[in-house]
Amino acid sequence: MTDGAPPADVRPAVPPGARAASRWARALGVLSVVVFFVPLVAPLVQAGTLVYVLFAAWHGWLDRTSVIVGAGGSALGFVLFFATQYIWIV
Amino acid sequence: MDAHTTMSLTRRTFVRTAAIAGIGGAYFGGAHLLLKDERWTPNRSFWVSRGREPAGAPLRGEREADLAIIGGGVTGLSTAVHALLRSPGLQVVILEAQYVGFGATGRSGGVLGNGTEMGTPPGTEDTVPFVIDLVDRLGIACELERAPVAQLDPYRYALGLKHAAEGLGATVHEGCRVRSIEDGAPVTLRGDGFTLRAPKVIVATNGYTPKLGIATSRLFPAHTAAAVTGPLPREILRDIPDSILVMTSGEMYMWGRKAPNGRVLVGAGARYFYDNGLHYSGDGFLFPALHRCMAKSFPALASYPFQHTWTGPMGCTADQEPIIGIAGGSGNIIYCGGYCGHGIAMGSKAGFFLAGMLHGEKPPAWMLRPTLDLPGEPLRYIAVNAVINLMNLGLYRMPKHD
Repeated sequence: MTDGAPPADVRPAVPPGARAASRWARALGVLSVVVFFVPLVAPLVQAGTLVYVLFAAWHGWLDRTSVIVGAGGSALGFVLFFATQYIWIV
Repeated sequence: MDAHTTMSLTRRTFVRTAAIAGIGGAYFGGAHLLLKDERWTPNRSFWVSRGREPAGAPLRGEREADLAIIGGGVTGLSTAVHALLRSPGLQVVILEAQYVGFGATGRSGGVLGNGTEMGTPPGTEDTVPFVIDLVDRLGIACELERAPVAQLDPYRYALGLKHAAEGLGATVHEGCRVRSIEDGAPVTLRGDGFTLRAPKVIVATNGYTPKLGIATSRLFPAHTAAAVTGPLPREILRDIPDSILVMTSGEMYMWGRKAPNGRVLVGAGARYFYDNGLHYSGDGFLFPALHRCMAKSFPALASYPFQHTWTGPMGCTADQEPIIGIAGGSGNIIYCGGYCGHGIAMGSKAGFFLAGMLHGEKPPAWMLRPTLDLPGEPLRYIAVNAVINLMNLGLYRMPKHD
């Protein structure tokens, strides 16, 4: 303990605001899927989510799960929106 | 180095994917918003494609009439016929922006049904016998089939009503779009090169009505698609019902019928475009989706492509039942529409009600009911299409009243 080596269980510091950013990314990912049937709103939410996740991930604020939920929700929501508008129904 | 390269590539891929998704989302999420009605190239229904009658001459200069009717569809023509049957000698002028039967009338399937989309409110129990009686009385040649399902050629039905109205003394002007309706006594209608003044005006333009500035918060156009196969072998036709009405999730509803020369005609769907847009003539996805709907319900038809396809707006209301309303400060502008796809029979009967109103009679009270005010844009675009999508997905059904 006195030789200057860091303790084994010390993890990198979580940047300030990272927890909130992760929560936002996950919430937006879920919202992107929930609003898939709402035209105009759905693509805007999905595009906004993708931009936010990209921005936050770039700055290292997001953990892996939040990136997957945020970007994945955005992509899944868009696929559902697209299918609803153009593929599944007349 | 490897880790750095991997991270860099991942980010780059991520950015690229995001950019593609963003551009795609913007296009498919909002492309239709950018389209203008002026760019619209209207298509022709199967009925019209079998032979179109030359359109009547447009109105030019100034004119006065006892009754002006805007819209040369089944509602306007039926109103003219019934008004003239009751008041021979009445000066009736019908103004149609394109040609008689251009709108929802000539684009429908021609299947007749009693009632409305939501049930059988008073006055609508006998709309099919009403049409059959009208066709017989006026001697309209419209390939009317009485049984097992009552159906006709809607375009020729409209032409028959036009000729009957003209025979009774009405004047039908085609190719003259009304640009403005000036309230007053008389009401003044203005268009390109004409002015028409009349003490009473019937606006019978159904889904096109909001574009005239009438009933903007009550009526909206919902575009639907229809298509017809080529002539089919007898053994295939034998297994197809005379009248098709399929309600499943995956399509709002699919309707259809056997059409002349051994064809099958189907239609489905409803789409609302921004600001009551009328420009839609289908896209690359529409008719393949309609064909999939048909093939899902009737697998024997899967290998038979459509020979003719078309689209068109039907007039709708928030509660999916037709309305009659009075506009203008003097109360002499009456509008009617919102049949939600049941316009051939119901529109014919509505014409009878409208003609009665000119004589002080009241139409069924439910047609004069207040309806939900639709919000302005962009909320209207969002709300109407969200509800349509939920209904298409089978997640919401509007309760019927019987």
